[in-house]
Amino acid sequence: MRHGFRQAMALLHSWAGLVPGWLLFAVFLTGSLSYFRPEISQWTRPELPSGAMSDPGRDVRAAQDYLTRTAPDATRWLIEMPLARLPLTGVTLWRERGAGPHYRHDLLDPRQGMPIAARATHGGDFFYYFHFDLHMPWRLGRLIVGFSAMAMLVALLTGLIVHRRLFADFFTFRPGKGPRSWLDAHNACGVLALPYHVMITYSGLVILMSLYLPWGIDLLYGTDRARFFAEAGQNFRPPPAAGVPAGLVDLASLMPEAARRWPGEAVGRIDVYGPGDAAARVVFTVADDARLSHARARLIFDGVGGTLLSEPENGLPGPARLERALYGMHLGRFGGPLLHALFFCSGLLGAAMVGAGLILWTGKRRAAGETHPVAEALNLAVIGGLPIAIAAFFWANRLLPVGLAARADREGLCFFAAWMVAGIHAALHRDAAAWRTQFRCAAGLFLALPVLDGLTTSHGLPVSLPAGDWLFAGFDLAFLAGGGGMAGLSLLSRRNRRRVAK
Amino acid sequence: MTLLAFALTYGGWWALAAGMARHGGPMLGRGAFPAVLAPVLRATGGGLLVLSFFTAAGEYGWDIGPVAWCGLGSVGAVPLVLMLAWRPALAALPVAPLLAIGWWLSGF
Amino acid sequence: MRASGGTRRTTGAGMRSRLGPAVLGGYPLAAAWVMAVPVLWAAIYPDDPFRLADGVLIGSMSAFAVCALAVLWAFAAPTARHAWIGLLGPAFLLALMAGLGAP
Repeated sequence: MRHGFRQAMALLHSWAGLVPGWLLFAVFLTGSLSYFRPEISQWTRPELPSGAMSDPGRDVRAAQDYLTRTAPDATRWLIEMPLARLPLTGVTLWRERGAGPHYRHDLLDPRQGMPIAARATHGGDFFYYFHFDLHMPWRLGRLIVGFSAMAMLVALLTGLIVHRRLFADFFTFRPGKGPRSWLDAHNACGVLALPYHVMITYSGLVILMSLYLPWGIDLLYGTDRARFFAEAGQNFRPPPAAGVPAGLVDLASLMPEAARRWPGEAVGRIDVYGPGDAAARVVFTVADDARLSHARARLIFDGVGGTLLSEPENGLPGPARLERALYGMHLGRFGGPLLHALFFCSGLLGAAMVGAGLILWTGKRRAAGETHPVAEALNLAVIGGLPIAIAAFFWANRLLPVGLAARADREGLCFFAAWMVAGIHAALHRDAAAWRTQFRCAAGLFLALPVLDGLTTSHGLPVSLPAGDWLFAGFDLAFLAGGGGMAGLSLLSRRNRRRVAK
Repeated sequence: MTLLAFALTYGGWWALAAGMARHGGPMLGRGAFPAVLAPVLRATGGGLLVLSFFTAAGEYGWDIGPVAWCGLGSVGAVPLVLMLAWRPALAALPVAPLLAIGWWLSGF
Repeated sequence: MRASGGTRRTTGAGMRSRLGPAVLGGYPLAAAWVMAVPVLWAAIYPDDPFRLADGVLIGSMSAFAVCALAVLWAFAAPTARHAWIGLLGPAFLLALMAGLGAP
């Protein structure tokens, strides 16, 4: 019975891991890049002046002036304050009626209060949205990723049950031994970063739980879903519009109150509900770089008189606090660059675990004389192809003409086109030579990126390194490291083949 | 302080691995693994990991600190696993310099 | 892990019969769970001013563990029939409880 149970769990583990595995690899890799979403957004806009110190009062005034000028008829404004990681003001507006778009997002240069004069790009948002939305219409991508995350959770649980010598094999890695090495790598990457894998998978599901399992909210709140999100501490619910015009308070005049309440912490975002209406509300939210939980402290002001109304989140009950904490941990915006790098490395370990598992699945069957052409082609197309596609995105960002129409979307197109070419190559040749070709191709693309960066911008390594411009220098060094890693993998696959041939 | 916490996790993992029958011999550079040392090494390893937990909490606070500690533990074990596969006897080399630099940087 | 060819073939047939309960049985159970937990929570803590939101959050956050365990059960159950009954039975009872107890 016990033997049968373990065997059933092993069977479940291999299928729950294999079927969504190719997608999970991509989600882990692009999700890891998303820890540096603001930095990527900055790197992809090399025209921006770097190192601009922001002055919160001035930035708020500039944003309010811009929104008053361009969108006085909007029903809601959102001002995202410039941060050290991305020194730009994000302004978003929503309109329910009247002329103009119903939703608009702009990035302002905080000093001029005008939209930035930089190349059109999705920047870090491209990878961020890909990792849970897959750039698919409706909610299709989120549903597919949710199904895969659920399978991942099952694979983690069954993996723990199947992996008998969890502690005995903790540090074990025996390279150059075919499937045995892939099993070691799979186990090591899984066990060493196990807390991360469980946290990231579970919190990812929790973040989108109202999409995956809306039935509890539907049953108890009916159509008034906004009330649930307000009670759960996720959204602020403004009072209905009064319909009487009234001037909006000077937002900058509220900043000293925020500074007094949050000593040492910056204002992260300012929501304005009903600007120009007598019932307007202004919500200040603290920046998200100093705290773990996403239950960020808020200050709610009357939007006309500017009086402080309340701070509701201080009384947030336990379950809502837990949900906000899981949300904050998944996003990983706290703790500074070192912690972001740790999250990034843990995410890479997740991708490595999935990748090694996929290679183990086909490798073990090939050693037993079975070939699975589709699985083998998909392995190469995803593990070899995705790094090529990521490099292609950064290449496209530097090479596409700045004035090109629909430029931002075409960068994304280059990502998918490169991935498709790699996929076709993988479908045609699935042998060890094809793996080496793709790894070498990715290595070449990454290693040449610093050169391209130096030729097309004024931020090349010879400039950025002496100037201490760690953003651009860091990216170039990371590209070199990534290219080196890819080159190492291509060498490794050659050596492995020789050993197997012997 | 982060580097000190990292050095402590790496050292902790090293001691734990050296206390295991499978890795101890090659790591300590002897033919046979001295069974007497194993419990001492394992206790040292556990103690260093606990120390690194408090170091991380001291640096990042009690909410972010444990998360940072988990991340340091995961990422710190990777070079050790690779060293054990490549040159187990050299895995101990980085421990002392890492601890020294970490100690110095944290300004004790 | 190193199952011989023979065992893999027999478990492959078992695999297909469990795929149904795993994929189609786990979700209804989780869906019934997220409806029943808040109803139960509100009955236990009638004075909690946030009882509805608390119940929904607790139910939703734990539902993914319930769903994962349901999939494990689908494969661990002695027969495929046991798997179906063990998933849809509790799902039905939870849904019934939610339907009767909902405000």
